[in-house]
Formats: sequence, C-alpha cells, structure tokens
Amino acid sequence: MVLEGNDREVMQGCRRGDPDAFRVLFDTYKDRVYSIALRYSGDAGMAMDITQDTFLKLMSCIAEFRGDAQFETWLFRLVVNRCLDHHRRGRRFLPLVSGLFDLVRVSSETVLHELLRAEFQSSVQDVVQTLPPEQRIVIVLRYTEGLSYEEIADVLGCSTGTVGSRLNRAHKVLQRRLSHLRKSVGGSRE
Amino acid sequence: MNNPRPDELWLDPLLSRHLTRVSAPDDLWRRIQDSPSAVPASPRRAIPAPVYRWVLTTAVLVIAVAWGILLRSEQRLLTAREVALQALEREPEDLDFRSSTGSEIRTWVKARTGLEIPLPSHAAENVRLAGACAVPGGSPSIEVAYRIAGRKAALVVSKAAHHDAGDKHRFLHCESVGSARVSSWTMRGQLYTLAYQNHGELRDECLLCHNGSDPMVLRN
Repeated sequence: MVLEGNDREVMQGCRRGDPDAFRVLFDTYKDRVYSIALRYSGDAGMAMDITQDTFLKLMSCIAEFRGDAQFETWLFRLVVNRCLDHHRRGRRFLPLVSGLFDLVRVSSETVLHELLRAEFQSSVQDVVQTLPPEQRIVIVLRYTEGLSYEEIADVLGCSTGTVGSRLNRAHKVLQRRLSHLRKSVGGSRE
Repeated sequence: MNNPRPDELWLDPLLSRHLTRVSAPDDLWRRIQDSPSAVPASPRRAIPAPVYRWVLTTAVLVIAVAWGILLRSEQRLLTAREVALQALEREPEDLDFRSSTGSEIRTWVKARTGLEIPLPSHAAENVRLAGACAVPGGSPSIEVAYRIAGRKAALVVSKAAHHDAGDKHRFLHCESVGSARVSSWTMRGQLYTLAYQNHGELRDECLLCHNGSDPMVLRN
C-alpha cells in the first residue's frame, strides 16, 4: 500500500498519536500481522505476543515511517524482526493445537472432515516449524502473504537470488517431509 | 526464476492451503490497550521530518559560520603576526609616513585607514616614534614603528573579525619567534599585534600607548 488519500490521513493521525487513527490501522493489518506471526511460530499464544509487540513497536516508531516507501513492506519488517527476536529468545514454539479444540464445537457431520483438515494443517505447520528461521520466514511470506520474490527481498533486505535459494532449499525439505500428503492434495502428476 | 519443477507442483497448493491467512483473536486490541507501553493518554506530538531537517540545516549553518569566523580570525591573527615581524625588520626610510609625534601619526592613520590608534600626544620618555605604514591587503591595517630604550618594536592594528567593544585588552596570543616576541589582543573592535625584541619584559613596549602614568598597563 503506497499511502494515498485516507490512508495518508490515517498515517498522519497515527503520527500525532491519535488513538482512533491507530485503531483504524490496527483493524486494517491485524489479521495479516497475526497470520505471519502464527504461521512462523506455530503457536497461538506466541503469535499473540508477537502481534502485540509489533503493534506496540509500530506505535512508538510510526514517526520514522516517511510515507515514501511501501507501508506494508515497512510493517512486515517489524513483524519479521519480532518473529526472529522471539525465536532468538529461545522460546519453544509449540505445535498448533488450538484449532483442534474448536472441533468440539462443530457438528458431528463435519467432525471427520475438520479433523482431517486440522491434522493436515497441523502436519504442514509442524513440518514448517522444523525449517531454519530464514527459510521459514520466506515460506510464510510467500504462502501466507503471497508476496513476490522482489517483495520478500525488500522485507528481508536481501537479494531476490537469496530469496530464491532459501525457497528452493525449503521446498526440498518440505517436499520430502510432506510427501505422505501428496496423494491427498491430488496434485500427483507422475 | 526458481519455479517449481513439475514433480514439485503439488507442494505449492498444499502450502497455500495450509498456511493461509487467519483472523486475529478479538481480544488482541484489548491486550495492546492494556499494555503499559501502549498509546499514551496524552500523545506525544511527533516532530515532522521537515522540522528535523530545518533544525539540522540551521545547526550546520551556525557551525559553518562559527567555524568561518574562527578561521578568519585565526588567519587575521597569522597575517598580523607576519606583518608585525616584518615590520620589526623595516628601516625608518621604508615607512609611508615618518613622524615622531603621536598626534600626527594618529591623524595620518585615521585619514588613511579610518582606524583609531590610542597614541598619546606626548609619548613616554623612553619611546621614540619612527612613523607608520599602511599594510597592503583587503581590510584596513596599519603598522606603527617605534623604538624603546633603543630596541625596535612594531604595533600592527587592524579591524577585529568579531566586534569587541570593551575597553579592556583581551589577549589572544603570545609567542616567541626567534629573538622576537609577538603578542596580540583585541580592544574596541580592533586587533592589535605587537612585535618586539625579546628581552623578557613586555611592560616597556606598552609605554607606546600607556605613557607611564596610565595604570592600565599593569591591569591588562
């Protein structure tokens, strides 16, 4: 998002410390920030912490954002840094299990389907968790946010070649470890 | 660039499907609000970037101007020092205006350069005025040659780089150069540089302007 019109007003409001403007910004980006944090950490509680830290950081340093760059890129840098910080602090990222508790509430007809989906999801998430941080964050930005190589390179401050090689290495690991899900995806072309 | 090979095509949709975006929990905003470091009640006003730039530019300009003044002042000091040392070597016949009377020299200097030299009408007993000479250059500058107890001395006077309206001497510099000694000070917006043959006592050379009864010699 290159800031225009209302977005620019919201940003200026945030710079002035206007809580309403900040609420607008929060509502616009909370899902994206939380999703990156969740997919990176694999833990809902940790994702909450990372998201909270990211928005608090955003509040304190929004004046540093000049408005001539992509706001999303700037915001994603904050999230990525928070993710890597949490990782460096040595916290254990637990597998995503919170979704399973939600199954209790769904109807019996859909339980099996949801259970399978949750199992798949958990499995994919667990395998993603095994990736080294620099490969994992590239995977999250690529598949959760759908960023291009160039956009990922901007966020991470590296070259597109580096992004490509990290993705390539991550793909190889994921392909090997998720091969048991290949048929269920229905994407086998052998 | 790094597109998946055909046998990897199943991975892309799998990852896209299982790493999708999710909704943030509803209580996230409340958590942020409850945080001690959340938005302050009376928000601090952010200083816009142009103000920073303006402050920075002003600071740089002030430093540059101050540096320029300092440099100019230092250059004047150096120039006056050289002129005074050269004047010490000058013979009376090389002077632009030869006179042994303080008032005559003062009038000539005033007419020639506009500078005021506080020469008394009657010099002290040991002082023998030789005359004055205009110093070529941009700003008006003058040298007064004299002898005291047989020793040569020269006083170079020019406009000071920064105006010092006080009557007191503000000494800037004092050094020995070979057998000579050079002292400089500012007073009433003028820079004074005195060169004299080093004999360990400055007081005699001060008699050029302070004719013995003036207590300023001792105070300054």
